[in-house]
Amino acid sequence: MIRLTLLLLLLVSPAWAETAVLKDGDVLRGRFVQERYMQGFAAPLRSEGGFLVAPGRGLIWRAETPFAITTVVTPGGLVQSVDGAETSRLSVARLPFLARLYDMLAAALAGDWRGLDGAFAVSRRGDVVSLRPLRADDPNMPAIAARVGRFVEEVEITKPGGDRDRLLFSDQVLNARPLDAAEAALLR
Amino acid sequence: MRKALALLWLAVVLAACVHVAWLSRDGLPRETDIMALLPREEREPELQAAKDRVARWLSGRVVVLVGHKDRDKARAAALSLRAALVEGGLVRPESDIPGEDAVKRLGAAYFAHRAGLLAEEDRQRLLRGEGEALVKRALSQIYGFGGAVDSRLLVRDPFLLFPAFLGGLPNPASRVSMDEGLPGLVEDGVTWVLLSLRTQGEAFDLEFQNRFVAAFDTASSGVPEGTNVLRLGAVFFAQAGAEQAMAESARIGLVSLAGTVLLVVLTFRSLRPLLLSLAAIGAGLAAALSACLFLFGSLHVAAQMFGAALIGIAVDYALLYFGQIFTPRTDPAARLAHVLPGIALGAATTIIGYGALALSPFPGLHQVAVFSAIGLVGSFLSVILWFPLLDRVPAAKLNRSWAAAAAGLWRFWGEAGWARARRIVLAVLVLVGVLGLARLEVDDDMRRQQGLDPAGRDSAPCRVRSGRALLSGARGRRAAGAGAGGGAGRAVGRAGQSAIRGAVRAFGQASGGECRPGSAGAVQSSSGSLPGGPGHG
Repeated sequence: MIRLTLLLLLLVSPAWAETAVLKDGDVLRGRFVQERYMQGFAAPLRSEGGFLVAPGRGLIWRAETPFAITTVVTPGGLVQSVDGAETSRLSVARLPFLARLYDMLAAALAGDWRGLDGAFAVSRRGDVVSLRPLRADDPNMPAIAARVGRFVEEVEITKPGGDRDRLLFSDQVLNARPLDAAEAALLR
Repeated sequence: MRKALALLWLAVVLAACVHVAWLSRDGLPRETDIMALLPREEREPELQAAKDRVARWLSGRVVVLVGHKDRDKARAAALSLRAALVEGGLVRPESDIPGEDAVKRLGAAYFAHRAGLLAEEDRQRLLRGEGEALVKRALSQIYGFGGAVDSRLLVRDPFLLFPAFLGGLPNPASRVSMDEGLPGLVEDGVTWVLLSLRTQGEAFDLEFQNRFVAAFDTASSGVPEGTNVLRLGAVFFAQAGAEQAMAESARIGLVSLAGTVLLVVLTFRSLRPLLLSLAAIGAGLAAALSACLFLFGSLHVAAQMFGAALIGIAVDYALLYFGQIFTPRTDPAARLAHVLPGIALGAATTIIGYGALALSPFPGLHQVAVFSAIGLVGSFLSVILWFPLLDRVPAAKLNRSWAAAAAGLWRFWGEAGWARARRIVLAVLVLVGVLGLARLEVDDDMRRQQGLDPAGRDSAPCRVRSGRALLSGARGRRAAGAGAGGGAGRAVGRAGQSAIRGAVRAFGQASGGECRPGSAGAVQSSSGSLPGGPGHG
């Protein structure tokens, strides 16, 4: 879950110059390729699809290949579905810490970094940004590096066990079009 | 011989007085735990040990909600309240709220047994032959966004059934969430910070409960304006109950003693019968108290209540004896000889009646039985051994109107001419008795024994502070909603009750207690379940 938060934060991070800052009402769309390098697997588990970030509303992460997996993160929680059928649901009511994570994310989206100052250390070298939680006592805490231009272009998450996730973002556009009815329904 | 016995009895009474005084040098050892009145599992000691442990665990729990519109102020007030109680040595410094790593510990504990664990929903799916859904879910978690899956987990649990099992476990504290290390909830714009405290002492220890409640009241009255403090815990109920029981037994004792003194003075118009009657009562009480403390180690407040009520019975023997001064008999031995069969029979039947309580399975009643029986024997012995030696009261004449009234009563019950009237009176009495019996309802709810003050029972054992206006009176006698303490206070009270209801429900479920809707229900259930959780659950 921490990885999820970091990823969300990276997606919307305005911590560096010339980086886009999202505000309420904005909609960021783009494409992603996710490669999951897992020990014991000869090749990475690769998925590809599109994503959408709407500050105040949430995030839609839609893998198209190899499976149609849709993940929606909203203030109410996280819902995952495959081929339109819901497979898992983490509601804020059941996991209250999700609300705290979402609040942090929402605040960050609106440019309010106070919530993050106490929780994360951000450092930058060139166009590579490292984001790491200040609580280093968790043995499961991954190391994260991101390449950032106007938007986040690439993220690499290395887990202590040796697994590694690589995310490549492309075709990112801000406010190309408003949320359509289906997207608005997902984020409701 | 008679003198020797009187002296021996005097020695016994003096020894009892010394014994009681010695044990009471730091206050009379008193038991206030209402659970101590209940039968114990003699045949299954491990069951009793488990019950005791659960009861002790529950009774040592205190839940406090500190609310303020400003989150930081609510947190600061909650932390300072906790710090004050910790510094006073009243609550344990460590919190019993599960930390963020509790889920990990829970997972680690269950993980070894994952082969035998299935979420109920998954079990149903498999039973319906819908295994494909589980495969899809696993794939969505492996390929999906922000997956928590790593190869180590995948090797051990390829269908990711274990995370589903963990996610399906009951989550009682659904309304309470962790906010920077402190659990709490936000309702109607008010941030409520929850303190779950464990007392250092026993909730039913009189000295501890008084110290705790006083320190809590002091600490919670020092919170900044606009802060609301709601509290819940057996220690508050126990303290209020003990205070009430002791005040009532003192009141009953005082009233019955005053009535006795008045009756003796008016009837005998002499100091000696009064002093001797008081000596008989005092000797009985001293012997009873000493025997109880010797046998049980402490005096239960319920026994103390019975003891206070005993004064009226214990004085009977003395009254019957001194009734003889209105007869021509002036020799004390003759006076005693005349009343001895009557008072001996009376004492025997009363003592057998009270003594029968000792046969009940209730430990509290054993104490009542011992206290009453010894107290009555003590008074009886004082009358028959001391009175003949100390009685110097000359024969007296009964007040004429009283004598006439007594003679009239005697005639009514003795003369044949009143037979018809007697039957009518008896029939009326039987009728009233039958009507009363028909209306009799057995209520064995232990919670009725706890003697909560009415305001506390109706509207939560909580104090609500709104600024300088203390809605609740001393010790929370008038609390939030029912307190009618001004509009703002009432609104805050409602929100507070609602908030505490949620927390109480969560904790009630967590601790296996029952919770009913409505603030009174929530509170009653807590009052019942905290001290009596396993007893009546």
